[in-house]
Amino acid sequence: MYVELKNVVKTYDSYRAADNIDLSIEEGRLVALLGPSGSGKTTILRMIAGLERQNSGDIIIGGRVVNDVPGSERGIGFVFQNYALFRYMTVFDNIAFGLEIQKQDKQVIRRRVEELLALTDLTGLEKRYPNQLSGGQRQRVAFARAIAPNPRLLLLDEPFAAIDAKVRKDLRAWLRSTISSLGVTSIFVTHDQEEAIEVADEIVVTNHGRIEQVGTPMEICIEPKTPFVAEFIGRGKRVSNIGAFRGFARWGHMAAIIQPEFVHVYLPGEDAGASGDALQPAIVQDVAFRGANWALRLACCGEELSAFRSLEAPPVHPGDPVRLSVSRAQGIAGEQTEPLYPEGT
Amino acid sequence: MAVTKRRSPIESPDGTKKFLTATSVIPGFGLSTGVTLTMLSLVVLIPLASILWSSSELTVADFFATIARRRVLMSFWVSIETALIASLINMVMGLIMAWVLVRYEFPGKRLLDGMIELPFALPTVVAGMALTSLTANTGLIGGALEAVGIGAPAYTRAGIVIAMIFVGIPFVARSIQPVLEKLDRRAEEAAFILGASPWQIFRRVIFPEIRPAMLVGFGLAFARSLGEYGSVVFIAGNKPFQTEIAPLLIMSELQEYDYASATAIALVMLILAFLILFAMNLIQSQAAKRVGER
Repeated sequence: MYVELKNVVKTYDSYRAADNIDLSIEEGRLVALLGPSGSGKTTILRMIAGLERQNSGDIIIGGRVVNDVPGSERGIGFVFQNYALFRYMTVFDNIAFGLEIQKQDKQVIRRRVEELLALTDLTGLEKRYPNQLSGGQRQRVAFARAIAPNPRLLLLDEPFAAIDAKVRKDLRAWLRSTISSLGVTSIFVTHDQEEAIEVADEIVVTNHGRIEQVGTPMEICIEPKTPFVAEFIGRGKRVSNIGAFRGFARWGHMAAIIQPEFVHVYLPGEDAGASGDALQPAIVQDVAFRGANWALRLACCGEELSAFRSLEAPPVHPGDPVRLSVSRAQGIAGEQTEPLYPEGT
Repeated sequence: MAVTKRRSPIESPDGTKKFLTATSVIPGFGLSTGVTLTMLSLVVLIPLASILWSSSELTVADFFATIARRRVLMSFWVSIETALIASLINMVMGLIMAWVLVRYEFPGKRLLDGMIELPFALPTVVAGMALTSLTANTGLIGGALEAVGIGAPAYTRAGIVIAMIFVGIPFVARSIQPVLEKLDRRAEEAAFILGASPWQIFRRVIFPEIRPAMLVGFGLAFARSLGEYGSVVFIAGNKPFQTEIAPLLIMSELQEYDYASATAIALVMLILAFLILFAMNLIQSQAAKRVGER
């Protein structure tokens, strides 16, 4: 384990921003801290960086308890939201800052900065000031500045939040491949599920200062362990009575979350294959085009469901009567969830 | 408040009318510009022009003869020297005051914040009297300094500097304060994580940000100190060649009905003031260009 948090508590007045956080992160992984705003994810990141001090508990980096080690001696690089570049320094000086503070040799600094300019595709821009750069370029300067002193741990606070959608996509892919080629253990904070799923090796979902679930993007998506994760990650709908759906009768009045991926919709007469006899009627409420598919909102058994429909299938319209089957749901039992499968499948 | 969209017809070269639209909360570009220009003319431009007008009664030779008098030259030197020292002290003290008011929370902070403007509100004569009685050899501070062998500052150039510090301090504090408030604290955190010491963070990250504001505050305080009259006359003692400042000399020339000399000195003061303002505008526009705020 490269980074470990043990029973870490951080309170602001009466508000618990981090409530008994236990977390361990393996060396070389790219981890996302994912949660809604106010869930404590940024607090966790800032405590690891030494920018905030926990009230109790231990933070261990590289086998060393760093509770009393200042952030500058923890061997970390930090990329701030909105970059926090030094406005009165050129790109070169921004990137060189950490090395200059370490009083490295001028030649060494020059070589390292040139290497990073090439890595971040900023060669030729070294004499510019931050205000003369685009958002994506500033982001890459911030990244280069953070990794210049070769940190063993890279922390990124909402690294894509201030970048427009088109550039964000490219930058995510670039960041992922760059970090994995550097092999530096990295933790980034995000509130965007899609971003976490796309970029991270491992996702830590936080809510109300607690960790809800830790797992690979696939585990988080397919097997959400708590009602919060199921609702936050997927676009699932919460139903109060899963027993009303065909095949789920034995769970009675249990509440559950049904992800759109597991709702299959058929027009009357459309071939439903093996699930033919598990179908039940529903009404289309709303249809939205989402680029890769249609997103449907459906009324069924007095509940509301969402579903996707392929662009190749015959189109459906609001008000159309359809038939649907549910192949899987997450039943809610207190603070936990359990996967439910319909009988006869 | 309603936002009005106004259109002002502008003749373009081909004779067609084009409409410029500007969104403003104050209606009437024509009216508000007219008011601005009228006020500026009445209060600033016309009085200044009248100095130029009066000085045109002097021949160039007379003008130089007047200002080349040793008493006049010395008064300029006293004014510039004391104003410079006072503004330098103010620049440092104003920075510290602004820093404390922005970065720390303490009881009475708002009261202290409000008190910074006191030198603006107080009649300078009152300040002059208070400072004089305090720093004379019979006063609290003056007496103490006399006792330790430094000597009472009242009626010396040190006294002039004290009065100028008093009237100049709000300019520096108030120029730096908003810039410090706007400063991105994360840039400081970034420098901290990269290993910078508090001093390095200040020198390399914070100082470049506040330097333009410091220089502007310095310039304003310097210009104000140079022209200060009310608070200085009491504390200075007004000994020719030693503690006689230029504005005071203008006053005494006027009392002797030597209007020509008075205007010649006034003209030099005017030129100095313009030079300071010009330098400050240059500093501000350079700084704004660097960080792309224009």
